[in-house]
Amino acid sequence: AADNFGTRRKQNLMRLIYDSTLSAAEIAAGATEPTKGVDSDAMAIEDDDEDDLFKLSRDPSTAAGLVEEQFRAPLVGGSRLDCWEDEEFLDSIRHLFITGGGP
Amino acid sequence: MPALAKPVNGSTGSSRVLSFSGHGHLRHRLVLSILSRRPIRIDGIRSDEDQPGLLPFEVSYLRLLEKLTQGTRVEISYTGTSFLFHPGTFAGGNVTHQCSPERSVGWYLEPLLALAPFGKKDLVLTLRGITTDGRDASVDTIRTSGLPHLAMFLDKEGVELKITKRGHPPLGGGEVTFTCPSVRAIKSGFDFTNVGRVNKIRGIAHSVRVSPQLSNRLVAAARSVLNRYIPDIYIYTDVYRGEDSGKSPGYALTLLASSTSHVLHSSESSSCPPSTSTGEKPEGWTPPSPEDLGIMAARQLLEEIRRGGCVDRGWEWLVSLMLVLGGEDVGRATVAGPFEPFFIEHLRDLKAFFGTTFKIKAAPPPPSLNDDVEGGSDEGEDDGPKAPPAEEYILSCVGTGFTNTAKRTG
Repeated sequence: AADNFGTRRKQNLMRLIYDSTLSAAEIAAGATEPTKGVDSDAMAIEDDDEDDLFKLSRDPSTAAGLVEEQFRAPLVGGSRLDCWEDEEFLDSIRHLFITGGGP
Repeated sequence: MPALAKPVNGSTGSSRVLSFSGHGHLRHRLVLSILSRRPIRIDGIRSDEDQPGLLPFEVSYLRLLEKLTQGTRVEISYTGTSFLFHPGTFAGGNVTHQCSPERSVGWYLEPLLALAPFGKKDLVLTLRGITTDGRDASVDTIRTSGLPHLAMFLDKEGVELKITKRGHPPLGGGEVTFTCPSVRAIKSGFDFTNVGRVNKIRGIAHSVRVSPQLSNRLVAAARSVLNRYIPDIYIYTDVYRGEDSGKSPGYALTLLASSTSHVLHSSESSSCPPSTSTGEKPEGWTPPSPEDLGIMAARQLLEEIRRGGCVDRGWEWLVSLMLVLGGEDVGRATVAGPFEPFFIEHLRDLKAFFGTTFKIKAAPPPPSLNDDVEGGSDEGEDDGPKAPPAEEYILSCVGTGFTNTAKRTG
């Protein structure tokens, strides 16, 4: 099931980038194409309290993402790099190196 | 049509003007504007913030573009929250610019890589300021990773970045000279889809205005992580003395992994304080030890290698742009996912400026993955933690056949 989900997302990536109105940050965060229902829901929220929505979209994504435009933000945070302490984890990417097994 | 990149379809003659909103992607959009010769208008620059409008370093970047081009017109509104940019011709030649201290020289130089080969004359650009700040592309990252990504599209040799002086924040005092030959057209039909395997790792450790011993400690720490994989590791220590080491102390390590098919991945860690919105150093902050930094850079490099792709993270925008500018032939590149917001926005910008859309399809899993599954089956799948496999996409597009008309043939 996870595989399926992955493939579907990958197929949609082109449409997400070129045909959807989702922001780049939303797509990067893993949002997928909103279905018709979701879309109209979003519209409804927008109509309900326009002010709130405006602030929300500005604060987390626009403000944090753009004010500090950063070249190559770290892929994973400091603590998550700790997985590279594990021997097996370290060995699991050995095939990416010339010395690893395989063809 | 994406929400942020809608061309203005005015009934007047200004229909070629592209409108954008906000200061994000400002540098790259200006470069795209010069390359595509389409004027742009940017509105809503920090219009709701305490410090509205363009900030000094952005104005400084606009001034730099004015120096580099002929006939560029910039009209900035009274409040600075919007401006109109009429691109001129990119001239190249000898240009020197003092960068604003809020941003490092890498902030200025990074987007210019795409412009550099299309001047009337060869470009010799000298930039002064901060050379490593932990936030923008450092000069080492640009030199070791950025330049090769540019050079592979050019027929000519001579793309170079010379770091004459280093300058750490806050005072800077560094100086770099970027040279790039001018070309008429870039290579077309580019195929950059073979990831290969990492066969060597290089690095540069530098320390300025602190004990040179610190760079050795950076190297030793990084080696302790990387030595298990391949023997071909060489990290050299770059020593700058006296005047050449700038005005502030600091140290950093840049690592670069190179594969059998010349795919590069890089990482960096530096003693620079984390960036804050005010640009001030946080209270009570002390730089991490060289040991911690060395290990951090090495682990980040492993993370980048694991992520896969043929393009080093941070240069996807450059490679995709070069594919668009290539000859009228299909160019392809494997890019690692998940895509970052910046790159997604850039793909949308490329469509807005050049009308080019990329075909994006998931790359087939590499054959080595199957070996892994076989190898893993005898010890059990859930035995230990494993690095997740790379998520890769093949981007392809037909080049627009861009030619540098300012450059005379021959």
